Amino acid sequence: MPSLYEILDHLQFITRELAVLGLFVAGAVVVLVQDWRPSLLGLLGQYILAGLILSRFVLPEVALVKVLVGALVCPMLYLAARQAGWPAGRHSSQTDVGRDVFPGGLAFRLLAMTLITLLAVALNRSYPLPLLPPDMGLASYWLMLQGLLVLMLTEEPLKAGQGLLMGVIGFELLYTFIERSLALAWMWAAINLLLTLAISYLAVARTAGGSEGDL
Amino acid sequence: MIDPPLWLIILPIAASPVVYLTRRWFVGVVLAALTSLFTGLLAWILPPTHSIRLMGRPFLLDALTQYIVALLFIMAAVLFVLTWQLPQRRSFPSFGLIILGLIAAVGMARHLGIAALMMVLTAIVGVPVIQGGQTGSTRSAWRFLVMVVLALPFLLLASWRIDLYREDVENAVYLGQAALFLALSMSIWLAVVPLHGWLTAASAEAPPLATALVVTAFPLLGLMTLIQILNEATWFTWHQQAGRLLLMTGLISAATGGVLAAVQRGLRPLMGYAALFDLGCLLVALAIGGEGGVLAFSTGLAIRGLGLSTIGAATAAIGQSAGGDGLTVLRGAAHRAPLATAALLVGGLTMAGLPLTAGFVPRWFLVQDLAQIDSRWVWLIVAAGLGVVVGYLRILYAMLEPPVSPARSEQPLQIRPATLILLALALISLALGFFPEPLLDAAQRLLTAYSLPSL
Repeated sequence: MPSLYEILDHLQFITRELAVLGLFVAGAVVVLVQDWRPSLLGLLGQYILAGLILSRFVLPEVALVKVLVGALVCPMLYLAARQAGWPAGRHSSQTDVGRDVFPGGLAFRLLAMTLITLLAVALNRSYPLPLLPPDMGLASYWLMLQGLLVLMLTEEPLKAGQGLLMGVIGFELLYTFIERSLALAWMWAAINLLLTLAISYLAVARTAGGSEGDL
Repeated sequence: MIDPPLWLIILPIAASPVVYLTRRWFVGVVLAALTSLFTGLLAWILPPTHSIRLMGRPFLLDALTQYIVALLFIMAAVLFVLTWQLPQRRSFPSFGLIILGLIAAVGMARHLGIAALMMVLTAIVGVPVIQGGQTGSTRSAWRFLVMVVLALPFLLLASWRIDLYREDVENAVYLGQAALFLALSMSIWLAVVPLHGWLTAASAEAPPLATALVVTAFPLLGLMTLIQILNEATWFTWHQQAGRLLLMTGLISAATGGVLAAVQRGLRPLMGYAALFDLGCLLVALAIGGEGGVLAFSTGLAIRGLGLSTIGAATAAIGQSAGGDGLTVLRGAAHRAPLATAALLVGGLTMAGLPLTAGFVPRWFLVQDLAQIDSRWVWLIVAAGLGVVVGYLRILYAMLEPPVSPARSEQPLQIRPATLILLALALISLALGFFPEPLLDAAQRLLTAYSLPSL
């Protein structure tokens, strides 16, 4: 079985710029796509790419924690979505659950995302984030602001929760440069996991019918 | 050997799984209440201790943390006992114990970054407590979660700027940013207007007993952290500006709480706005300082716990007998639950700060000192307090109307243990209004051991 360092060596072909671009794409999927499955994949992509980018600057173990968190967060949200009755298949969307999580149409979300991108660029120029290279500073601003956008667009816990986690990933990109210790990485991991647990609980509580939950 | 202050964290968190497993039996409730009461008493009697190092960071149990933590634990013990007979999820005591243990940890943490992360952990545990097993709407728990997570980056950035300054005093240029980040995050934690949404939403939707704990504990958690920073941080030099900011936000919050309390059409939303009014008064008391201000603040902390416990328990009891807590369903509720109605009125008037109730003690100290600064602000506080009174009198008027269903009103009056506890809370509130010495003694004990910041 290849070691962590060998895996990172194999991934050298993904440059930081490419990974940052990947973050934008994965983030855009969360903001633009209503369907919860691609949206969850987008979130997982963000965790993996953020881990990959950070592995070039901090201890690989710290970066690995981020990837592991993503690998746990997304299945938790998947299980919550299934428990809440969100449709599993392409043709099973007759149910109301999970539909119309965003009040506006795709064009509206695209416009909002573009405006937020412009805001992120302006902020990155006027108030560059300390310690971070400019492209990563932009990615950090962009993820935090797009996360806020998702929070403003919907109160549905599963979708808005992805926005919240996206914002947290954006902030972690910055904060990992400030506090590089492994202990803090574990504490962030605990917060991410507990946050996901709370999001999952609320997602299930929102759609659960009949008797109250047992928790 | 474990340092004594750490028991305040370990005891409730260690008891929590056992309480959860026994939550369906009375023994679980008793265990939760006894653990909470014992930890509260322990917090009260512990002597001053030295700083402890955990994870390389300093932890210290000061008199303010002792006072607030003891207050919250004792208040929670009463609420836990009431969960046996009043409508509330059975898991509330076990989650409540974790929340209280983490609050003790936050109070002891002397590194802002560690405190911030633990504050968020506390809030995450608070989510199922606020949701309370209800299905359908998740608005209140969701807003609460979002707001505290949004506050986290500001606290962490403030902590980073402070750490930079500690490493190199040349970095003093960043301290202004640290103060700004701190003000932003504390505004969310203290639930001051216009960032009070989580507090009033939680009150409107959460089960009343859980609401009583949440709207008392979480703003006090923020307040405790803020006071520690204002008091202990050598880097913070904007005490005058902070005082003005606290005064203004306090007055605005009290006024908003009072005005909106007067027009509420349900017991739970009314409780939220009464809590907002009281919070505003606490902030004003902290801002004005002086002999009256510090007494108003320190007695006000205890009265907040007492008043909200009484209202929360009374709201739960009335809601249980009337089948809801909206103005329309409460018609005639006073005939079915006369003792709970009386307790509700006493609790409401205590929060408003009316004479002959315990709430008058802090309010009297407050207005005396406030009058020396600006008499218009006194009228503002008095008018806002009257708003809370109007809110409760409106509800009382509806409750005193003849019941819609006469058959239900003919049911014999049942005196349950929960009603007796409720009555005891109301009587304590009245007794402290007539004989406030124990309240003043407790406040004086705090003020002797801990100097509140002069702003």
